[in-house]
Amino acid sequence: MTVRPRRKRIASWQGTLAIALLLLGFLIAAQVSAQAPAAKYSALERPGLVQTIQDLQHRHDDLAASIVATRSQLAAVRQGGQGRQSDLIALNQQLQQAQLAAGFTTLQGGGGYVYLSDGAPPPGIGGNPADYRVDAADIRTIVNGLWRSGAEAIAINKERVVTSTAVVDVGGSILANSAYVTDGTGQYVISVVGPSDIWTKLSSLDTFRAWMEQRYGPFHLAIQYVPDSKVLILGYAGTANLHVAQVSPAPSTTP
Amino acid sequence: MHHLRSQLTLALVAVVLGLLVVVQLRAQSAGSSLDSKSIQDLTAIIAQLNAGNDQLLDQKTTEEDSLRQAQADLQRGVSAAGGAQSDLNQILGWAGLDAISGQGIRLTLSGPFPGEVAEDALNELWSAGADGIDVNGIRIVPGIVVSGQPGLLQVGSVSAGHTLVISSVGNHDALAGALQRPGGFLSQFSAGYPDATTDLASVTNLLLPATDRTLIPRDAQPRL
Repeated sequence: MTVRPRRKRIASWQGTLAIALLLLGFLIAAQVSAQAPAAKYSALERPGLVQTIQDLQHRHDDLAASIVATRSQLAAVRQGGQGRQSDLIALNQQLQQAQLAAGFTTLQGGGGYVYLSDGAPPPGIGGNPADYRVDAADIRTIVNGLWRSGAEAIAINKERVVTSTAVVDVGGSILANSAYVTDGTGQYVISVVGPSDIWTKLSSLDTFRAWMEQRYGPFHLAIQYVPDSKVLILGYAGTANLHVAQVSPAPSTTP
Repeated sequence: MHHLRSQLTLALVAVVLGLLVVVQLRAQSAGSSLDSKSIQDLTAIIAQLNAGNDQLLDQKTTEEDSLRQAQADLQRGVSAAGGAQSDLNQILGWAGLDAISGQGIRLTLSGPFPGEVAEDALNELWSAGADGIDVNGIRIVPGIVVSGQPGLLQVGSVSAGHTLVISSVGNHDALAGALQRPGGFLSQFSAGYPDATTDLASVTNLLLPATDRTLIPRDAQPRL
């Protein structure tokens, strides 16, 4: 007499569970089928986009090398054609000095390399993983600190820092002079030619100490300075065109 | 039998869990490589690289035209002074060694804010294609940095108090647009320093002075 109601209860419980599982299965299937095309599309697109970026960066390097080579040829042709014309000799010398001042010329001298690397988020800690990556503001803080510490020339990876250099975050990567300076390992090399005590000077700056407190400490970014007596910094190979400005040779002040 | 089944189930769960942990760790360690970026991020990088390469291509064409002209002048026995003078003027203006003039914007920042914040504005302006910038009449060139605590601002080694006037020659729509974009410099500055004030104006004819700083390296040697 008591067996029948118990069986009834089990059957009822099993039925409810079966319906719930059926519903769950339906929902998972619906979700998976909705996501599948997007995921498939992304997976197909990604290798092509990554390859495009690598191709564009190679194109950038080729164009930069070509510009440097053409400038060298141009300088040689002009020097070859100057003969004994003193005005032309003086003009070519002025041009060479201007190119040296503007950062077009490769330099070598004492200084060092600042190695800056992404931090690794500790396991189990929440927060934004992007905070643990080196960003453009980190690079700019170091570069500006190096200028204030007496740097004569600076390059970010291979990109020479010149008057118009912008260091920007684009799509989670860092671009300088519109070139991709992230090598994929999360490490950046800032080459600097400057005084032998440049690291000591940089370390004493208020902006650098604040950066160490806000970025190096909490987000485990790694920074290291390696001095070198023969740091080579390549010349700037980018565009040097004025878009709207007119050159006014006579020095004047902003009204 | 029942005990063995439980152990097998537990082992299966442990294997799946281990697999998921490894996948998660690998995904995190590859965080800075291109493979870990979203499609939108990759597309944004491509757009920037394309724009940069277009500029480089223009520059390459300009340099090659100059080379062809110089070679032609040399063959005809004509002085190449014209081309060299033109290149010299261009470089001197671009590098900040000569004064430049033209349309642009003037941004005034005043109040309690640290100097390095203004560097973000300068970076935005260079990124937007500025031809030249000065801050409080001091031309921005490599080595000139805006710094200092609030109220004790400095442009290079010159004291600036609590007000900076940033003048930039360039396409004023592009320059103003870069500063005003959502999440850009002006919105971040207003949010971060509510007691400071900003004023942005388009100017039809700005004149930026040449730098008085020597940009020739003291110790570094040129390498050909």
